Amino acid sequence: MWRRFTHLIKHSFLVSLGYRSEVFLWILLSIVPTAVVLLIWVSVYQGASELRGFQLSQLLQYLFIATVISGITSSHFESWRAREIREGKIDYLLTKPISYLTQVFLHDLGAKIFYIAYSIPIFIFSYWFLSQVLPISGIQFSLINFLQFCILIVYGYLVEFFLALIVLLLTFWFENGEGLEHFKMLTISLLSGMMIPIVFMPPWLQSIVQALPLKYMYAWPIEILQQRQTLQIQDLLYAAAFLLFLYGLVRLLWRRALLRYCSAGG
Amino acid sequence: MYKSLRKHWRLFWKFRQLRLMLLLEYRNSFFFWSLVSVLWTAFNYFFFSLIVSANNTIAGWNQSEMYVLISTFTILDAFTWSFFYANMTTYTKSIFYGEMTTYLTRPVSTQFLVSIQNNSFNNIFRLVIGIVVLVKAVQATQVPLSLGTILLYVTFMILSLLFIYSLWFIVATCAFWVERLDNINELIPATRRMWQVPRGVYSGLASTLFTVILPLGLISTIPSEILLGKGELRWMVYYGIFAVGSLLFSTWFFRISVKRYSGVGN
Repeated sequence: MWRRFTHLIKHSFLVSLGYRSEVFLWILLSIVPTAVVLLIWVSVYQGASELRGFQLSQLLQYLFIATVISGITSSHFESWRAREIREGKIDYLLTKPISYLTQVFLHDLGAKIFYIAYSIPIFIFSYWFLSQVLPISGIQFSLINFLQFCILIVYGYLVEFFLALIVLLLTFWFENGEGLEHFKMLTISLLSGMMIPIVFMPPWLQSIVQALPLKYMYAWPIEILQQRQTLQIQDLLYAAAFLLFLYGLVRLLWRRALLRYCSAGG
Repeated sequence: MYKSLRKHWRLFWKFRQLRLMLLLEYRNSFFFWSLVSVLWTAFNYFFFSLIVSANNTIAGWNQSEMYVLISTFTILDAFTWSFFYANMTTYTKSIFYGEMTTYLTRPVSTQFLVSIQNNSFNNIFRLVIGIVVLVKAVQATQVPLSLGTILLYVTFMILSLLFIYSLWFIVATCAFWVERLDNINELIPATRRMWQVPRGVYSGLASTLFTVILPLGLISTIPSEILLGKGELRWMVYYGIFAVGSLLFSTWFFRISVKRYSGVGN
């Protein structure tokens, strides 16, 4: 079984390798808006050394790490997979000895491994370059902080993946299923601390973000790396429960979706 | 000359008529994507309101002035997504898949044809929101408005649209020169953040780069400055010349690039 899995991951990795120019462009396209956001914050901080507990260098670091996390954890397979489902082209995947959901996961994992291997040097270079022209502080962290950060990165990826799967499975019911991806992106951008640290949000939004487990995707890993937060056992339990909930929802949707699927031989 | 203009004018509206018929056929899709567009627009306003609220200013622009800028951007963005994205996607696809022959053999300007054949109406609400917030924000700034100012604003909005179009068309035309780059069309949307901010955000090398060499930072700033009564003649003249020049360059670039095209007469 494991050999089948690794074969699928390897296959997906090689397919991604074929699209390396596109991947390179995507990485650049994620860095450009970030650079502009950093410049915006530099101008916001004019005449202020610290805002809401963040020095400029810490805030710039926060926003840059958010971009890196976004690249590492985000999943964007909904659109093309949804089109496959709508056009009845997943028959051949359903007849394989590995379940459809596992195939989607392994394919995404292979592409993700390629993306990480390819993008990390580019991100490191970008960070170095930006630190030459902007006051971004260097990253200093302990091993325990880094471990907690890694745990939350894996959590972030799994949440992104399950949410993407839920969007995908809704395609079985909704004609514009792939458009639901935008709701996913909006929700994550707003409620995870991806676009701005939680302390910069209005109080009503802060309380919502603090209550939801999406904060473990961006706000917490970055703040752990910046040594502002520490992961407690109840945080881990909350995150694990949320993952279980998402997994259960995916299984439920998949069982019902299969009953709705029909095609004429793919 | 007159006959040719009339032919192009009628053709332009014929395509709009066809797109409207499509919209009426896929009404649900229209409402769904309109909702997505409205949500992103609201998100954008919210995002900037959070940044401004941190220190009540961005590069010397207060909250009301920033709303004028963001609204100007929103209006431009409505046209960007309605016209440019749809057309440029079809255009680059036709080059990559060898379908340009159809356009090249038509008795009208190919650049005109590939630039106007598509549009979507999903961003109408984005446009309405942009205009409404713009009016409210201008009222809040208490800057006296004259008919001349409004006319100058509209003129520079048209110039900004021309500039965005030309830039996008030049990038899309690069498809003749590269083997295959599916996300080439995402390049301009990814740089949108650059014209979402006042030009004062750019300083040093970034200022030279984004306000002089490639004045992306002027796209929303110049019309907004005109409306706020702080427009500078030298910047207006420079930007006007650059916008018209880039349109002429795009036409010339298309003429030399199209010679590289090869297809099988689909």
